[in-house]
Amino acid sequence: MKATVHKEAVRVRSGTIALVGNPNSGKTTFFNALTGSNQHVGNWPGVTVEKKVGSFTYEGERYRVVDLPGTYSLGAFSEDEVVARQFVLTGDADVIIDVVDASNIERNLYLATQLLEMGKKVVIALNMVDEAARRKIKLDPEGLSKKLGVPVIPTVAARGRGIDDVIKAAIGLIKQDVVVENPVRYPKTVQHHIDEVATTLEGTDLPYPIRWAALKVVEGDEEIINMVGKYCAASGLQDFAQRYNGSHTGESFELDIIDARYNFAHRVTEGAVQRPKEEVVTFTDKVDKIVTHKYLGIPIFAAIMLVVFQLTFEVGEEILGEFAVDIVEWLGDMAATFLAYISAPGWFISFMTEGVFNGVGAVVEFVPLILVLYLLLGFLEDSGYMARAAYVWDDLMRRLGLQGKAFISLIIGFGCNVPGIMSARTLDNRKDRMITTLINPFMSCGAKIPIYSVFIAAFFPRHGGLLLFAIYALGIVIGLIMAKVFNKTLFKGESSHFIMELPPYRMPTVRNVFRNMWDNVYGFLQRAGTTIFMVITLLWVLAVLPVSAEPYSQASILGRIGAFIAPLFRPAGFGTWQESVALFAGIPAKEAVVGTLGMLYAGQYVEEGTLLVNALKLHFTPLTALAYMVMTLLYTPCIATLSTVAKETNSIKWPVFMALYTFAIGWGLAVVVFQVGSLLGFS
Amino acid sequence: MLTDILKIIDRDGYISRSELSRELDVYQSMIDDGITELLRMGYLLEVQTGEDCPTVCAGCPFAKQCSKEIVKTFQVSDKGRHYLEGKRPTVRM
Repeated sequence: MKATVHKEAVRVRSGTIALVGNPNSGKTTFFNALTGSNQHVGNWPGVTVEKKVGSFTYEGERYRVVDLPGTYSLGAFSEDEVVARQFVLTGDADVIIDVVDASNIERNLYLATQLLEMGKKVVIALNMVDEAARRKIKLDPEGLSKKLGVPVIPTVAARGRGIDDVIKAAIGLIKQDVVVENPVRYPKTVQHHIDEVATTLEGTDLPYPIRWAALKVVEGDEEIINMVGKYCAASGLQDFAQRYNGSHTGESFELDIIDARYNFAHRVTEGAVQRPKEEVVTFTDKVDKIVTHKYLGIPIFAAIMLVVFQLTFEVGEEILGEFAVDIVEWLGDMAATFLAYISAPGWFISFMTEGVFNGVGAVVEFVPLILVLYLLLGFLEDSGYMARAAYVWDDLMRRLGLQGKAFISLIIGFGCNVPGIMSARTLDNRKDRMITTLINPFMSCGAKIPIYSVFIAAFFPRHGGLLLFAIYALGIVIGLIMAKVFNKTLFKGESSHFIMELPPYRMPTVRNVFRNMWDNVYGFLQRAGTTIFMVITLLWVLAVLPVSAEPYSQASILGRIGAFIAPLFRPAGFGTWQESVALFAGIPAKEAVVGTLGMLYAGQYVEEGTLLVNALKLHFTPLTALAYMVMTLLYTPCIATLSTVAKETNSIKWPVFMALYTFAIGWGLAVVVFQVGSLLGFS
Repeated sequence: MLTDILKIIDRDGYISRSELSRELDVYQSMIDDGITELLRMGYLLEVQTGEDCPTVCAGCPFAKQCSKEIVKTFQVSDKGRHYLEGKRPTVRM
């Protein structure tokens, strides 16, 4: 009988399924195939790890699916592992689906072995069997199932093959009362100690399976030992640590236990997995020879990214962005006409047109850019190329204490820091996630381009390309220096054991690419939309109040604030209140820097054109212009970026730190540029 | 498998992952994982050729190559050697 997945909503939940798997096992594709559009994304509490929850309906009953982070094991060495392990142990999962890469089954079975040690009901989805067949790997799912003691079902999640069978097996297990025996055989001494500790723990209220906890104690898992100690104390079993040490000599059996798991995984595959004597050279291998080539790899990557950014700006900003702005302007005009028609107060019309529609316009202008960028990046990601990009940069990034994948987040940051920082989620440990997040704002985002272009037009028209290149290069250099600094100071000691794995190339599916695009656009609109809108509205209010003052003049509240902070920037050569206000206006959204300068200097709100260029020539010199460009490149990122950092790190501390340290670096370098330039006789 | 990797590296001084894979009859990805685990637990040490390399160039198979590029090799640590001698490390409590 073929199982059918109904997509209609049914209120009663009949069970929870947790999805686990190694990175690159096709788990996300499996999750999408299982839940369709019924899913939402969030964070696990207290960590920067993404939490995806979805649901599906089978024979009139609804099941919740929790997609756990992709991990190679269930130890306690990364946030991802801890999150996955905690949920498997103490979450409400009734059954676990372990998505296993059929071409890499031996490695993937280590995780499966750990699930079985926990005594969990498990279904193995032997995924990407089509790729395994291309590599001439012969698989015996029944043989594997017999040795593992759990259902093993071949699937191709990208094509939806086998999903129904996995659902059927999983639901079958939910409804059965099954006791899962740990199939791993440990050395006699180890088993003796496990038995001894398990006997001690029987009198406690430990929330974990007793035999698993005993195993982890003997393995030397510090987190579990501490927890077990607490429960023992609470249960009157004082000094567990002493008892434990007294039960044998306090020796570590970590290596013996891990070895037993590897040996078990190896035995399971014997006879059930047959590889060709000589590895089959697939299309993937042939392409990889070129794209991961020692010398060609980076130029190929640069060329691909150049095309991505060209298309992003050409299509996303120039065509769709203009179109989106036109729509907002048209809506603004319509609203103004309507408000005038119903005789709304003048201040309200001004607020709606200048405040609300200008504010919304600033956001909408970004949406097409993010849409196109993510469409293209989603295509690269789904095709398997992004894993290669990480590979070719791994060496340089490792020297800076990061992993190659961190480079992708930085590249995305050139488009917009918000998705750049969001993409740091995919990194394997907290140290890499945090450093990549903290240096991302130095990657000059698309919103800063108008600032550079207007200053270049005013002061450096002959050296535009060179200056733009230098500005971008300065951002990268400062970012990489700070990565090294953070690696040696704030995050030292958290080393990364990163295993580079290249998934096979696949034809991207329209569903995955569009889902990736939509998730990012929706997230951006949700986060950035509200923030930019609110702050721009506030700025408008400050620029037109008090009513006795002329709007946008120094007598306005905004003008007074600008005059107060202006002395701060004098050492960098640009100390007027207008220039200070423009910098702070850039914190809500970077495009506002040019707009505000235009509004305050040229007497009207202009974003480009000769009027602003002439106005800038009156108020800046080439040297102060250069210092101003350096400042805008490096100083505090926009509110949308800071709020993304707050959300991703679940703390207010890190965005505040980022705002301050980037400001200090921007200010410091702008001062250096101006002071050194002045000393050298430039003006 | 981990103990076997440790024994072979200790016996031969140096060995490639593909040779380990052949000798132990396990796939190279498993060898990669095994080495990563042994490094994490401190039974192996990663040694990078270059200025800080503790290995004497005479007799080293990478001597010619390492003047051109950095080569990463693995050594059995003191902890690993003690383990191979039958002395287990103590549990950190």
